[in-house]
Amino acid sequence: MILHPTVIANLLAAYIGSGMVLYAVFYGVQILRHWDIQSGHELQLVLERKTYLISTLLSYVFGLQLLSLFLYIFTADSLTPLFVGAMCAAGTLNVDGFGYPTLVLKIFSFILAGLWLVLNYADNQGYDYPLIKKKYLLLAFIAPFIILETILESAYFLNMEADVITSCCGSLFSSERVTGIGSEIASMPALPMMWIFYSAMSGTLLCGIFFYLKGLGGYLYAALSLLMFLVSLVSIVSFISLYIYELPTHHCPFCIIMEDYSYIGYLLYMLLFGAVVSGLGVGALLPFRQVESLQAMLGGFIRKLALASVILYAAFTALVSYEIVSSSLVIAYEVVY
Amino acid sequence: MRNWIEKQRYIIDFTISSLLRRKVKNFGLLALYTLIVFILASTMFFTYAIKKEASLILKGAPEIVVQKIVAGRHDLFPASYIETIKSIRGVASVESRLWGYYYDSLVSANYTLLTPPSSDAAKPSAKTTVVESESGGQSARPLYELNGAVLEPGTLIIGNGVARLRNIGKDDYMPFRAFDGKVMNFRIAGVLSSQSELVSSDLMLITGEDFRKLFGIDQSHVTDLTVAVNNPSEVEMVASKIKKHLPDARPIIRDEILRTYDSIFNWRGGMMIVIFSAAVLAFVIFAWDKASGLSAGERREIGILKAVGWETSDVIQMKFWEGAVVSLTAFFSGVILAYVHVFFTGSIVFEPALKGWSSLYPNFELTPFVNLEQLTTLFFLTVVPYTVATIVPIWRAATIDPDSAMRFTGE
Amino acid sequence: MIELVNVKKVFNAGNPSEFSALNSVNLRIAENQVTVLKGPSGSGKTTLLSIVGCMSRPSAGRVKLQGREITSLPERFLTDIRRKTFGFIFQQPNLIKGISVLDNVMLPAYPLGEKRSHLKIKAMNGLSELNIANKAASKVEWLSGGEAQRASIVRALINDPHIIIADEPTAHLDTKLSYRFMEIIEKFKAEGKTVIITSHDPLVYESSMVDRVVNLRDGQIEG
Repeated sequence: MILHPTVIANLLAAYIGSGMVLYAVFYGVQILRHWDIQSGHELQLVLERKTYLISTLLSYVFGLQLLSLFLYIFTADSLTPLFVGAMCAAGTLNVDGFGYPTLVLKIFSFILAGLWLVLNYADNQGYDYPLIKKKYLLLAFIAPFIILETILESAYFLNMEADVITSCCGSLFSSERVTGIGSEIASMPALPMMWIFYSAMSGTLLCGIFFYLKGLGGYLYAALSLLMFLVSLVSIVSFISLYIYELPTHHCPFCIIMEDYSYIGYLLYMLLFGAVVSGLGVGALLPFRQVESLQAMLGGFIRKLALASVILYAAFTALVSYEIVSSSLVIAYEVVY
Repeated sequence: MRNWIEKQRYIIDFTISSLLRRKVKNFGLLALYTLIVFILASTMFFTYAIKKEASLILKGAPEIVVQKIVAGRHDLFPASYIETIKSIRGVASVESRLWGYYYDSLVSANYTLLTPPSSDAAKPSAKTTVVESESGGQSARPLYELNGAVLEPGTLIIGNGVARLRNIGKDDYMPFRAFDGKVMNFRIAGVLSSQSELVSSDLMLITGEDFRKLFGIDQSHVTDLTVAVNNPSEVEMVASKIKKHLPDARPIIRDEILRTYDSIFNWRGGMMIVIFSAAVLAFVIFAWDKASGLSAGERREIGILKAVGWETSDVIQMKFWEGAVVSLTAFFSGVILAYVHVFFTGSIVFEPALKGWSSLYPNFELTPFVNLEQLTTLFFLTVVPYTVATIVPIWRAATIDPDSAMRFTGE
Repeated sequence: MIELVNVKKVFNAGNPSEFSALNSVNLRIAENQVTVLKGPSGSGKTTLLSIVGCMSRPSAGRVKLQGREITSLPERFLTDIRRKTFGFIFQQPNLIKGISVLDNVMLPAYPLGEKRSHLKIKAMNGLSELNIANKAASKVEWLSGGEAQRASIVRALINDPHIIIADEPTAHLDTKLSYRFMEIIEKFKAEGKTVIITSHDPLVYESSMVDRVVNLRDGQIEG
């Protein structure tokens, strides 16, 4: 294990997050078992109060997940010098088999926590807690992922061994390991991906606007927004990063959040995360439009979510286009390495 | 949306006024919080800045150092090997080095004796010679600077730390006991500039002849070699060729030194954090206690707010803002204090602890180096635990019955 | 109109210390009237008032406000109804110390996020109506007992509720101030507001403006 202040901060965040989720699930299960909205008994009053605690906890978990996602990449980046062959966070995450799975789980549980908050918000608008059971079932579904993420993250950091000078031999050690870490990320060819990105984005945005105006095709938009999220991630690796780094070969999706690129990555990722959470939120809420106590407000809320998602995706696209236009890199032909 | 913003403004205003109304109670918490941030931030700034400093210096170090290993131990390097290494393809130049340590029992300190590369001594006219390896980029630090002093046989140029310790200066004499027991007297030809003190504090520059006389090393041996390579991507290849041609040689690549230093400093910084985590834990318990031990006055206040129409989540929001105000104040004042402490006052508080490492403690000023990674880490180590520790107490406070206000009868 | 059907309130249910503050209370409170809940201390007046005022929920039974069942509404809805429908005057002025009278008066409106300039005008109007506008900027510690109560009345009115609830309002007032208070209540009635008061002060329940007196004893309505 590498005893590094930032590694400690990561593990601390993971354990705190898991602890909060476990605590929330503990009360969530009580709510699932004993909930009776008609009752005025003290148990019910206590449970209703607990709902405040749980939503507060989950909002913090949501924030913590987002922050720790970035902290995680920071850590990977700052540990780079310790590993032979690692050039940036992309290489460090490959040091053992747990780096990338942890990252994927982090993104996944962040989106789930976001959806939970969307559901929670909608539930709070109904006078009879219409979504309470679904909400806590979702919570019970999220918890294992966050715990798994903590386990993987611990494994990732605890398994790390820095490549340091050993007493017997110096450089042999290095040359043996020189091909050990794949520093670069496999990527789609840039020009075709650019076409895919722009056409998929136009489709998604049109679908979103159509849903906003006519109220039709909500599920399609939710699905498209998830798809668009994945397409955007692939695009960042494939061509957006190239324009930001102004290098035809550096495909790293992580370096863009570093100081050298004026932290532009934060803005890109925030827009993207916001867009996918609100976009998926549309799909998550649509089935409940007919619930009596939600009828009055839910339609409006879903439209607002769709609008937010469309605006965030549009802003993302605008930012990407700006980066491409203002970049000095021109991809005229495909560079194959 | 406008209503929501207006509402948050009302709540923040009220929060700040209620924080100010309980100055004494909150001041204690704030002071302790700031102290915790200050200690952790000082540690981090210090270790990161040293790490940065070391890596800047190492950037100017030779690409490959070759040592000879005998029975697993570092041995004198046969000069005859030099030609073998020079003949390897890709090697730009090979330079032999003479260096070693001398223990001065008078002040119980170890000096590092080094023979400067021949080119420097041959330039007596240079006012200030900056010794830098050829591969050093713009950001690299010079290893040492000669302030116009000329190194001749029978003279020394000493580092600032030595000068301070022995209380000697230019043109003073310094006796040494040679390997055969004879006493050798050297004149001090000059003192190294203080800019590079982190590495040159215990340094003494000596001519090759004097070095060999002092330690009894014959002409056929040197301490080790430095190898410069034409193409940076061939460094590892060259190193493995050296190993192949000279099985008893141990080539060390600059990157490996960097990596090793990095992990040593990381480990040191991590250790400090682990040690201080006890303090953080104590603080978190204190914060929990403080947040849950509401005074009768505060309970009453929350009861009144709820009775007049504040909702549980409004009170939670109020408490959230309260935590945010306290945390941010403590975080930023702690960080700013630590910055001043480490970079402007030379870590006054840590100095005694660091001085224990060596009697030749370098007197240096660190270049301010703070990045977002350090700040995020600090945030996670201090603000996150505090915030989480206060969630449950906040929720308890916020769920006071609204009708409790009706039951307040006396003051 | 407020209607209570078979309302019960039990505290510490299941514990040895269990006790029921209200037993099967049935009550209708008419609009635009002054109703007094009268009874000795411990008779359940305050509990009843807190249920009527949407501050707490009954353990059993139903509560209807203007025909709408509000018994099992979540707290955030109850609070929303409460702050728009009810104005509370407590036994104690229950003002928050250390902040100005004006801030205290505006407190109930904070969560609604109304524009500050509007809110301020409303608060100042309320204060001048009860002749304490000159105290707006002073801290509540400097108010006399009567002024403090008038400030708390202005606070109760800030969201323009149509039902005023007062819990033992004259308990800490001398006779002269109690009469002043009843004059204010009369004004409310004239404005068409519904007033519900708990009291065992004859000055209140024997007042001519009171339309109805409800007697409570041991958590039940007498007669």
